[in-house]
Parts: sequence; C-alpha cells; structure tokens
Amino acid sequence: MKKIRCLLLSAVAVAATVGLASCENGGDSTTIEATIEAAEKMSETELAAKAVEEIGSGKLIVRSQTSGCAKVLAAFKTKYGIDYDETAAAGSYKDYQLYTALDVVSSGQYYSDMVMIQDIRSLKQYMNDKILYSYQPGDIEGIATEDQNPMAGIYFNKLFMYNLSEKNNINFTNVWQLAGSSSDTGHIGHLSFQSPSTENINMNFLLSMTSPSGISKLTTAYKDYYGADYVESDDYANIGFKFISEYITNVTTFHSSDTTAVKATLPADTDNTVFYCAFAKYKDLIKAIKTAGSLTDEEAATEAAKVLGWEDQIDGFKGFLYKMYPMIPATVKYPYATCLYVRYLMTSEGFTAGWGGEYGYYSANPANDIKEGDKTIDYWKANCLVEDGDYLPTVKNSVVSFVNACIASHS
Amino acid sequence: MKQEARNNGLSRSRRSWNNVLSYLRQPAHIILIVFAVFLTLSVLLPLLSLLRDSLTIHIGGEATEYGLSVGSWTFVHWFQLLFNSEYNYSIICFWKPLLNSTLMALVACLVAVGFGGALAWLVTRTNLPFKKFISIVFVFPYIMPSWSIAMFWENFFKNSTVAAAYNQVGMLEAITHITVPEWCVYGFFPCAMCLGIHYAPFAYILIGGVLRNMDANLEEAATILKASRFKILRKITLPIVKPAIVSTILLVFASSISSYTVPAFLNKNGSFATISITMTSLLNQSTTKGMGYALAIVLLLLSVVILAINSYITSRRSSFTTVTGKSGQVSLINLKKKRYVIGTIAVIIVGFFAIVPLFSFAFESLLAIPGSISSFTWYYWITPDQIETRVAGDSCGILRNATIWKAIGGSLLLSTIVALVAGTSGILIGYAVSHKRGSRFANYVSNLAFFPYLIPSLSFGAIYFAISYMNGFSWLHGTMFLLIIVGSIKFLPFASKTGTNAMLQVSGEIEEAAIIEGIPWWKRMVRILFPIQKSSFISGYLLPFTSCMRELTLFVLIAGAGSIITVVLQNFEISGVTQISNGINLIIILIVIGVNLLVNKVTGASIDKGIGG
Repeated sequence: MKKIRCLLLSAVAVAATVGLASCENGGDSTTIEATIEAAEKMSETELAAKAVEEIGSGKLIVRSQTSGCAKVLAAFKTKYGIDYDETAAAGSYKDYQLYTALDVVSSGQYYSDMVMIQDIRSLKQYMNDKILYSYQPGDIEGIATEDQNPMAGIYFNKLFMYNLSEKNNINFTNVWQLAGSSSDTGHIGHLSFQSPSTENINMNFLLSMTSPSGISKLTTAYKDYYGADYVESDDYANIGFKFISEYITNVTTFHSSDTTAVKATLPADTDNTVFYCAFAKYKDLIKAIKTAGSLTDEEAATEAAKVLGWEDQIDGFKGFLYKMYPMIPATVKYPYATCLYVRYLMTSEGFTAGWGGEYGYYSANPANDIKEGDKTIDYWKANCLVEDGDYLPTVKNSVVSFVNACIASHS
Repeated sequence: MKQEARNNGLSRSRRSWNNVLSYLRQPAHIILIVFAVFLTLSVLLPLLSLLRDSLTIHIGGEATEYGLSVGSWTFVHWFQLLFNSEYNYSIICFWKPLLNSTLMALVACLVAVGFGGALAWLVTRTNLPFKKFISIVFVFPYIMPSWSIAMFWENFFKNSTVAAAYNQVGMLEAITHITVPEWCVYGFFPCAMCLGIHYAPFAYILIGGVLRNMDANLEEAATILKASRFKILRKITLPIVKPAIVSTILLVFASSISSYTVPAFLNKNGSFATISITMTSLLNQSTTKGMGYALAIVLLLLSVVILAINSYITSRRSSFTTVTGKSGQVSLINLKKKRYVIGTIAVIIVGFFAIVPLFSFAFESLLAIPGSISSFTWYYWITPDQIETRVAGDSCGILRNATIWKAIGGSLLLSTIVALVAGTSGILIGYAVSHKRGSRFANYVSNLAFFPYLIPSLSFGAIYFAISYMNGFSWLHGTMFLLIIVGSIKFLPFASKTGTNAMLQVSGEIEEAAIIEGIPWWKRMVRILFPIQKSSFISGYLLPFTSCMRELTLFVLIAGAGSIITVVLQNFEISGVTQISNGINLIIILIVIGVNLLVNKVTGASIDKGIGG
C-alpha cells in the first residue's frame, strides 16, 4: 500500500515538473515586425480601413498605467467605430504587475493588443527579448529622435516642490543643497522622497545620476555651489555616486504615496520640507481644495497656486523627466487596429481626449498643446534630468545594489 | 484478524485487492489520498515553480546582466543574494534585514501569544466581567488590514519632535502633550507591536478554543493537592494548550516575517530594513527577479523550520485530548475584588486597538484633504457626480456607486465559497491527520496543507495567472472559478490548522462508541464531532472568509477590474481618491463583523460565544 501511494505521488510530481519545464514557446516575431513596418508606411485612411477590416466586431484590449488611455479609447471608438474592452482599459497596474503579466507573451499566449507602460530600463529588455514592439506613425512629424524606438507616448515629470507658506523659508537654487552636509550654506535638511525600493521611476532617477548627462549637470552645479571643481575620490566611482549617497542620507521621510504627499502633507508643511513628487498630482491638490471649499475650478486652481512652489530655477536639474510608451506585445490579435490607436493618441485630438488640460502631462508630439500655465516639453527637457533610454538599460545591478545599500544603511 | 481469516487460502492478487478494499474502507485513508493528490498538484506545482524561478534566467534583462541565455539554469541569483560583497550588499540588504525581520516576527509572536493567550485565559477560565464585549471586539484587529493598525499607530504617536513625521502633532501629543521618541513611532518596535496586535486574535481563537473545552477537574485536583497557581499553569494548563500555542506561533511568524505593508508604512525614517521590502524591491526590478524568488524560498525555508518544530512537538506527546466521553465541567477562577479592575483595563486596551482605528478610517473618508478637519465633507459618500478615476463603470459617491456594491457582492460570493471549501477541507484534513497521527502520510498531507501560507501571495497569484494562459487551462482565465481555486488553496492552512487542533482534542472513545453502534461516518461527523467542536470549526470557516474579503495581492493579477472589492479599492487608491478607498475599507470591516454576528444568530455558535462570550 505504501508503495502504491509513493508511486502515485511520484508520478504526479514528475508530471508537474515536466509540465512546468515545457511551458516556454515563443510567438511569431517576424510577422509582427513586418506588419508594424507595413503599418508605419500607411496613411491614416489606409490604416483605418485595414484596422476596421481586421477587427470586425472584435474588441481591442488595451492595458495602461495611465487612466488617460481609457478616455482616448472612448474618443477613438467614436471616430473610427472600433470597439474596446472597457474592463481591461480601466484596470490599474503597477510596473511589476504589468511586466509579470507580459511574461505569458513569451510562451505564445495572447495577453493584450497594447500596453502603455513605463520604466525604460525594463522595457528595453522586453524589446530585446522580442516580447514588445514599438510602432512609429510615419506621417506624424516633429517627434524628436530621442523619443523614437521605442516611440514615447507621454512625458511625465517628477519635481522638487514645497509649500509656499509664509512660515517656510526655502531658498532653493542648487540641487546640491539636497546633498552635502548640514554645514553647507543653504543646505536643505528636510527632504521627502518615495523609496526607490518600491518606486521604479525613483530608482531610474537615482541611476540617471551616473549617466553622462547626470554627471555633466551635477559637475556644473557642484562648481556653482561649492565654488570649486569636483575632485574624484576613492570613495565614489564618480560624482553621480556621491550625489546618490548624500541625497539618500539627507532624506528625512520616505513617503509612501506621491498623491498623499502633494494633496495632504505638502499643504500642511511648515518645516521647510522639499518634496520630490509627480507634478501630475497637482491636479489632485486642486481637486481636494475644490471639494473642501466647494469652489469653482478657477478658484481652486488659484488657491492651489498659492500653496505649491515649483517654478524655482535650480542649478543642476529641477527634477526628472520620464516617459510612458505605447507598446505592442508580440502576440497582438489586431495589429493594424492597435497601430491606428497608437497613431490616434499621438494626435492632438487623441492626446487632448486623454490628458489635455492637466499639469504634468506632455505629448512626445510637440505639436500637441499643454496645460495653460505649465511649461513646454522643451523647457522641461532643458531643466530636468531626462530618462536616457540608451543608458539606463545598460546600468548593471551593481549600481542598483549601491542604491539599495544606501537605503538599507539609512538611519 | 477478520482480514487475515478472509485472506487465508486466497491468491496473491485477491489478497492484495482485499487489502486495498480494507484500506479504503477507512474514511481517514480516503481523505488523505484525495488531498495528497490534490495538494501535490496545486501546492507542489507553485513550489516547484518558485524553486525553478530562483534557479533560471528570466526575461527582462537578467540574460544581459549575467551573460546567460533566457531559461538557462544557474545559481547566480543565490550567489548574488547571499554572498555579494560589492558595497556589502548581501550583509546590508539580505542578512541584516533577515535578522531584523526574524526578530520582529518573534516579538510579534510574543505579543500575540502573550496578549491573545492571556485574554483567552481570562475570558474562559475566570469570572472576568465584560466577556461578551471583549470576545466580540477582540477579533476586530485581525479583520482590519494590518496597515490600518500601522496607520493608526502612526497617527496616534507621531509628534512635533519626529522629523520623519514632518513634525506633525499626533493624537497623543494633542490630548496629553506627551511626546514619544522616534523609535516608538517608526522602526522595529512599532512594527512588532502592530503585527502582534493584528495577529493576537489568532492566539485568542486557537488557545481560547482549547481552554474552553478543557476539563477543570485536572486543575481542581491539583488545587486540592495544594499546587500553586503558577505550578498549575506550568504543569497542567500550558502543556495542554501547547499545540495551540505552537500553531499560533507558526501562523504569526510566517505572516509577520513576510509582512510588507506594516514595515513599509512604519519605516518612513528609513531606519528599519526588512526582508519583505528587500524582496519586493528585487521582484520590482526586471534584472533582479531571480534574486527575489530566491529570497522567497529563504522565507519559506524559515517557516518550514518552525513547521518542523511544530510537527516534532505534536508528534512527541501521546495525547492532547481535552474532550472525552466522561463528563467535563468548567469552573471559573474567582478574581475576587480585582475582577472589575482587570476587566476595565482589558476593555480599555481592547477597545483602543479595536474600535478607535475604525473611527479613524471613517473619519479619513470624510475629509477632502486628509488630516485636515476643516475639510470635513460627505461628498465622497453621497455625491452623484462622477469623480475622475480610472475605475470602470461608476465613480460617484460610495453609497450611490453601483460598481462598488457589485464588487462587494463579488467579494462576498468569492469569500463565502472559499470559506466553505477551505473550511470543510480543513475539517476533513484535521480528521484524517488526527486519526493517523504520527504516520508519514498524514504528516505529508498536514504539512502540504500548510505550505500555501508560506508562499508569498504575489508569487502564488502570478503562478496561477501563468497557468491560466497555458493551453488546456485558458478557460480558467479571468473567471471567478480561478479566484475560488486560488483562494481556497491559499487560505486552507487556517482551516487545516484549526481543524487538526480541534480533532486532536477529541478523544477517540467518543467516535468509537458511535462506530460500535454502526453509525455511518458522515453522521458521526455531522451529529457528534462537529457539534462538539463547533466553535473551533466555525473559526476554520470564518478565518478564510475574513482573509479572503480583504486580500488584494493574491488576486490582483487574476481578477477582472471590477470583479472584487479589493481591486476596486486599489483602483481608487491609485486614482488618488483615498477617501473612497478608506470608506471601502470601512465597509469591508463592517461586513465581516456583520457576518460574524449573523453566524452567531443562525448557528448559535461563533468565535466569541465559543470562547465564553
């Protein structure tokens, strides 16, 4: 009896292991590449006709990390008559959730027609592994070279912000005020920052300090702040590592949510705290003020502008500019319809439907309008550390280990 | 003898067949076989998958990082995790956080067992007043998500001297002008305390269930022989409740060491690195996923050690029987004049940690600007306006929101079915394991039934997500059935532990009498065993129900956008509408409390009533 039991369980375990080991098989990457290439050469009319014929009564599945995609889909449906899956469009995904889900594409399984995803460091790897592809509409001009391959959809920025309250006395002119030591002139002793252990964009921000652009900006700002050139030392591989270490040491609070930080904590702060948060959360502050005071949109915007300080000119950089990318998984069901949708969200009509009229959202197509009162994408590119799609994917785990070790040693 | 007599003179195949029939005539054997096969497939598969993931190169950058091809086998993840000396990474990011988490979990166990066990003893074995209130209210901290207790702790203790709390004034300072140091607000101590408080109801339920049924004659005999109160506790009471204590420690340790939300919430000053945060950080990055899986295996192995200790302790002792065929009586220790003092202190402590956080939740859902009392509004509960969110369907005020109520219905359905499946399976496993105690087969099934608890929810959900995309299993994808399967397996450990503990208490002579009378097995279960241990079995149903109602990480990849309430909650949270997410949290807690009261009304038994409320 014991032998029968053992045999039965062993057979089950072996079957399970074999089953697991046999899961990997890929999709047909050659076909997708060719289809996308063909779509890139089509005009809007040709692409639309092809898309409608292709999808028929089917539904486009789009999964996105920004809620604007669902609004664009609604406008897209009105314009082209192409239906979409509302439940999938309304889903919320964190970086690791979406990338984990995309792993099924490697075994040839269909997951989604399009994903709007961030974190270029992971994205480039998935492109190299032929999981995700990028479509570039051939007839939309003006998209900068650095926003191509993969094509960027939307820019976001994370800025250093603070409360404009009279009780605060912040004179923020140089990014090295956030590093160094408390004995430095103008040192900012209170810094609120979401931990990069759980926020990939903040990890990429810190990793970008070691990029050629980051090193250049930090070196110039260092000289402006300390009045002397930076001298290489054995303690740090380069000035970027020095800044990362000192910046993390200077963090007073690792806040858990940018939304709460901007909406609730910053407006109440009178401690000269600088918050590093997503500028797109400005709209949440305006809404909170509007609801609290039963104000109109304009009144709420006026009140919010009295609270949020973000327009300082800071030597070095004001923050970090990063992108979200419309990507096509290898197992896409409706490639032409997907390409048409991507093309649509790059147009003024599509972008406005999804993200128009809000602070902190910028199309990679410079022809698309920004929120009145905000700065142009060219301004942010000049004044922020920009996500470097060529550098970040090459960053080794040793740099990530350095950042994590700095955080774990924080006291 | 009968079997041997039958076998005399028969062929070998016939004898074997007779032996098989005889084996299968015992319900315990059938139960063990069925669950052994099912659990081997449903638990071993994720375990093997996790192990494989810790030893292979994944998509997303590891191939470039290590110069190996995707899918190739390697020990590099383990090496990087355990022995990476660059920047002292392994020491700073693995060994030290592992030590921190282990100590935190052990202190949480101490707090949970000490607090919960002491209260269980007071309620079941003494004439303490206010028992009903304490029994009903004490389970609230477990019903609440652990991060809500952490949030309450922070709001209460933060003060103007704590820079990491933006020098904000908390409740304690506002009321009493007392300020506590930063280590009381963030770091090791508050994390351990919050986890201990959150899991104290485990101890209360498990230990209290045993104490409730313990025959007081044992203690009375010792008293007559002039044994001191301490000696009675040490030599009689504690040995009997030992399996319940060890089960509690096992559950609390496994939960606490892998807890993410509490250390994430109470580590705003960055002073306390834990292994769960390291694991989340590794899984978040596409170039370190393999290290994340290796770390998950390490956590699993730690819990396996505790599991092995549990098995050793329960197999050593010959019997943990407290319910026998002889009459049992419960006599209560007289606390005399101190009873009202002790009772009042217990009420204050229990009320403080159980009820005040609920008010805190409710309040947060009524403030347009979190923390700002002047922004009080009913807007997020009653507005007909569609608030801008990324929630599919309705995004108006909670009470008018059809999407929210539909998702609540989905969660109730899911949790009810999961509770029934897991609870019933737990009873059956408990029956089989207790009857075949000490046998390797029973140990195998018992341990396997507990393993799902040790696998991180994120990994567990991800594995079944991947399975639902495999050929032959795609019909599962996005269905409620998949959620039920995953939930039933994941929360089976609660039910199997309570079922096993309950069955171990019951003396064999009770069932033997029924067997002699020729009563069929199912009737013995329904008419005899279940009624005797009703309170413990009810716990085995209610614990999976409670856990399932508030579970997100397990279901986030496999549930549709509006299918269950926790996914809707996350959508509101990500959309920045924390008022609605706090309101939803409050509703979930009230629903679970309501279900507990309903079960009390319908069955006449509940967690609190069974323990003496």
